[in-house]
Amino acid sequence: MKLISRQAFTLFELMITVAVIGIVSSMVIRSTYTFLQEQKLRQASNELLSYLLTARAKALREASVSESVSGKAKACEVKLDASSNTISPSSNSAANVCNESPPLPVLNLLAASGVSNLKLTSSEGSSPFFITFTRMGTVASSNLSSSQSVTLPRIFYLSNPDSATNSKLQRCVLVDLNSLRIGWRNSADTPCTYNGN
Amino acid sequence: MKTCYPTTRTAAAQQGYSLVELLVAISLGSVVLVSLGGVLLVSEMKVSAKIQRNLDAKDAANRAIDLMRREANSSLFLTNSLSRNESSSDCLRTSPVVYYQTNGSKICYKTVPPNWDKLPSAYQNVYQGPCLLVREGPPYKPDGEIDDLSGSIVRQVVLDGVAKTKSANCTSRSNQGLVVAVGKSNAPDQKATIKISLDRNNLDYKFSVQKPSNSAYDGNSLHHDMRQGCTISANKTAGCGTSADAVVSHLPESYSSVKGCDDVDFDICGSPSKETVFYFVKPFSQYLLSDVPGSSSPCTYAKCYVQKINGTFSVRLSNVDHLVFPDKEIRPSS
Repeated sequence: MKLISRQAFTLFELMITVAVIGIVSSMVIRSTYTFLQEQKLRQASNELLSYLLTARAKALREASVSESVSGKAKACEVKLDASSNTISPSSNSAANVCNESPPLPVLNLLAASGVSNLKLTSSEGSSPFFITFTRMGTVASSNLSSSQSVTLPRIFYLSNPDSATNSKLQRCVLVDLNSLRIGWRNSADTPCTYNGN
Repeated sequence: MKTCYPTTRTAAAQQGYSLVELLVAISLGSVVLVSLGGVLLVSEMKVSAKIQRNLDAKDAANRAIDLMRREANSSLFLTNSLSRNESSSDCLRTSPVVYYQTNGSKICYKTVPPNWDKLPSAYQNVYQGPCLLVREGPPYKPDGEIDDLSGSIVRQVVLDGVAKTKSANCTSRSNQGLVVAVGKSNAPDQKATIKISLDRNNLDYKFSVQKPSNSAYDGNSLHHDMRQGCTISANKTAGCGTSADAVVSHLPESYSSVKGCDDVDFDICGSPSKETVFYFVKPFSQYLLSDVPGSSSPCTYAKCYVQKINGTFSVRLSNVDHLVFPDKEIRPSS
């Protein structure tokens, strides 16, 4: 039988191979982690948009047939709290159909999206932010909770200030008279790019 | 007889594939499969996103139309022609698609390009166009009512993606990118006659005549008129001739102020090719439809008094398409 001589890898080759695999793995893991965090951020903005769509549908469905104590039609007002990252029906008005039984549940954006850290800002005003949908499904220019006028469109920015990813990506949720849209931007200095109407 | 057997394979062919060959084959196969799957997945996602965008666009358009329809129903009149007295309004200068007036406030809809310099700065880079439908008027309060007492006027985008016109100009006066028609084209075959009785209490009466749903409508005959008190003269038959637009267009100049008149008749020329719609100021619940005295036929839309419940205001109509009140539309029963 003919003997075949076999050469094994040298230690140097193995070390190079392990090093290359390590470098590639670290890059893949890091980008994967960043991708997952951005996906969670996307999920958070989707959850916020979905909640607003539900609130608008509830206003269209129930506010048109409801009458408040004062004889005026009701509306649906939701409160977006940046400190707790929650959105819920506002509780300080008797004319809020979203607070009637069954009320809209409180949505915790952190829990719903799984994002590790969430920063919520708005193009106008400070937290808590109020959004009021009229019985026609439009966004009112003033809220039930306060008589201050609201400038439309209003944009909410969601970002993930995670030092591990160093991502400056922000998700944008646009609230306008007749439309709710979702978009993104690469940094706080650039305008948002929105999905189709 | 010779029996045929398969030829003997070579030794090399009988060895099979080596591990390296298999690994390479599997790798290449995987790359091809992943590429194909990726292409299909991306294609599917694009189709799905396009369908979703179309659904969203239709939903947004429906809500925009519904909003305009609600405002039209609560308006005193609507027009898309310039008014002499309000020519300085930017709302009218920039080609309104439709123009409403509610409780003295003006609501204007028009199409503009996305980079229109009079849009609030917050709208920059938000909408793509090619044209936007913009509402200019009092804002909405939380109860869904128009805040027409604050005096504030806001410009807000109602709909994105409105198509350009043939002239590729969003603000062209001939813009037909969006046409809002109220009522149906059921034209009278003869002129419509309105008999108006006014009391002496300076009752406001406002009406409009419009022809929006007929393709022959030129956009110029839509007219509104507003009077304070009894200011209608009886001499209104001169304009009724061959041109259906003639009477409508000359209404404002022809009326003279006749204070204290009780009963005034005048004619509005109808046309078989155009639709006539009358708008009334008060909600329908504040009117009664009554039989015309002496009429043997039952009360129909065309042969009735429209009488205000609390007051002496009444309108007698004949040969009219239908009546449009703020909260109800009356059409012929037969």
